[in-house]
Amino acid sequence: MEGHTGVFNINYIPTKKLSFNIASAYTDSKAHIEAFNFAGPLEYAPETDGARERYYNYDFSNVADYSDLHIRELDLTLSASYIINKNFALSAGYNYLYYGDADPYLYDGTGRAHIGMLTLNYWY
Amino acid sequence: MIKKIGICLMVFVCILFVSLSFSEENNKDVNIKVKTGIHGVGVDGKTKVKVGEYDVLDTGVNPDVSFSLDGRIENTYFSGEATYYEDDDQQYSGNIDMQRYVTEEFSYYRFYHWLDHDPLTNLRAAATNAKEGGKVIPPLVTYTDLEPGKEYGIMRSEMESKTTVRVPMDLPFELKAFFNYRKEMRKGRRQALTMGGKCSACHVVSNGKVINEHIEDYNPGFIATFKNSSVHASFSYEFLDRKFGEDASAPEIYYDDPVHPGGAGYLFDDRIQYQDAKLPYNQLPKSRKFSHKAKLNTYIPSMSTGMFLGGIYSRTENEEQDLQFNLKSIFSRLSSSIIPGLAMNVHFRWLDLANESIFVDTNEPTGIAGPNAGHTYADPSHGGTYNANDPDFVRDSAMSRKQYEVGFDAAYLLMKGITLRGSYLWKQIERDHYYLSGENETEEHRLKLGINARFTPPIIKKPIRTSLSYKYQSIYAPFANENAAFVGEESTIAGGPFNGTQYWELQEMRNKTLTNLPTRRDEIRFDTTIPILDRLSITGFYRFMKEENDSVGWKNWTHMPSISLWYAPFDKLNFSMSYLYRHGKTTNPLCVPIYDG
Repeated sequence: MEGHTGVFNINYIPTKKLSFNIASAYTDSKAHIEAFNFAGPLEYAPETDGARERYYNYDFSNVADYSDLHIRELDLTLSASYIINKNFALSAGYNYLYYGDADPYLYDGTGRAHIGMLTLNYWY
Repeated sequence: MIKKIGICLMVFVCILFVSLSFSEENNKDVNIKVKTGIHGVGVDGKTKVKVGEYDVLDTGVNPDVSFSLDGRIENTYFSGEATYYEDDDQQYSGNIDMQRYVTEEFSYYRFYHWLDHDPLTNLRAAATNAKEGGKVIPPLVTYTDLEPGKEYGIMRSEMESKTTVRVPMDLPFELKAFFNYRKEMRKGRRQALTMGGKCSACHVVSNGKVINEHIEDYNPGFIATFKNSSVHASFSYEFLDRKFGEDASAPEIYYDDPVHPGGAGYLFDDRIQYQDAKLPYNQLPKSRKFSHKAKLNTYIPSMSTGMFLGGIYSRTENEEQDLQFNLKSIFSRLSSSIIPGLAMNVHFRWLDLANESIFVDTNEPTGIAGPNAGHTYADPSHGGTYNANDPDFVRDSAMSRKQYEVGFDAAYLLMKGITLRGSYLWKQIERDHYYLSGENETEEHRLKLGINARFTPPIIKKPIRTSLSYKYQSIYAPFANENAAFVGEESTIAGGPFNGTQYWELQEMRNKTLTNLPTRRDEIRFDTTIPILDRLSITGFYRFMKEENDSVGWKNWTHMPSISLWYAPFDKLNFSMSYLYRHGKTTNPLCVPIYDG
């Protein structure tokens, strides 16, 4: 199991009335089960002369493939705020969400979401 | 949609007028903030479960509104916050303090949690190969999904109210009575799995389960506080009445008729509990919990020493099976910093947990074919050689136990800026119905050593904060499953009524006790913050953890380093970055069920 996570945040206030912000979190993670062999047990098969043998063998060759997971996630937000006067301010923002199935397990869960925001702030 | 926009605008305008009225009264003790706006959502992908697990993500444009206020009107203080984002994403809270005699805290939140839908195709990862010239072996597992592709999720909400009244009587101590109420709800649908196959391949069945759960708490109590120059003391008592209920019906599936996989017919009807019938599964019983909790806290300022003593008694009832689960616990701690520079704590805990045993009267159907036709499995009149045991049994609980714990911890100021920390804990668990290899006691020793330092190196000339700690745990006889699996090459002796090794013979061959709990655990933690410049600082962190249990061949280790940076090159610009790396490995024996179904 291995994972990398990076986070960054930038605040920029060019004037007293205007401010910008960028925030992001990114994760890249992998996990897997190493290949293995496991023989079936020695058993007495029916209608034999009493000799023991491996009646059947397990086949776990697919386990390493099925268990191989690789996921990437990103959460990115861009926002800006403008103070109109001592009581009012206007804010706008955009949030991007990404989930990536780089090595799909049973189904591909990859998806993206886009969220745009526009807000009027009032304070007293 | 237009209705929602109208409501948001109306809230905004109302708060605007309220604030203006405060302004007219020149009351400057009220602060109000309100935000109203719109948000648009677009989703691209086959499913939104992974992208926004806790986001509603309703596509389209929707309004939202939030406000906060705090202030004072004469001797009454108040504050409140509210956020409406979506119908299933809201939260509200409010506090009011009326002249310190009555305080009220209220909160409500609601959010949606998307749940995964396991397609079960991973079951194909395990298969068998027939031996050369032998029979074709059926697959180990088959499955049926009765709701393929359905999205599952649960809406969760909680409402909580805490009311405290200071009793206005002239007493030698302060007395407060409180009444807390909480209600938590979970509504939605989730995946529920069960196994419907018998004897041949395991047949896993997936269906949807409606969730309509609630938890309701009534929690009254009182706190008495006494304080003078010699002693500070407080005593509190509280009672809890908790109800849990699931109002939705359990899902039902049809349990297959047991058929011999080799084509020998209906031989197993005499020993299969659920067969040839549509039955409910994944049921949750209604339960009720009563608990009494008392605490005594004292502190003597002249000796810098305090003592805490607390006790809990609780009883939890399964209202559908008339079963009880009782818990009794006493905890005490003595804290002292009477020696300058040394802070010490000693604590003791005793816990007695009793979970009732229950007699399980199993179904005993009559065989309809084969050598046991006309008889139940344990029918002594049949005279069979393989059905010698009574299937009814008493289910004792492995949870029932007594637990003792004694601990000591201390912090010593070695010199200015350097503190040494150390602690030791001993814990013993005695189980009423032991499930260990000949042992009914688990014993644990835990040791922790650490150092915190704050010093100013000559080059940087700014204070650096650093801490380093090491924790060691040794556990004797951790909780395990005795005779959980067979390890080895030997098999049973040939013979018996059917020839060939039978599944119950493999069950009896089990010889290995298994657990995933460690007997030894080591952990190292290190972190440091270095302010390189007034506008630049770096924080580093590292954690290493290793657990192992040599008797079962189980190991688990993890490395986790991280680094963070904060930099403000100008007054108008600042940024922060961090990177975390995690690497771990678990080594575990593989256990394969020979008896499938």
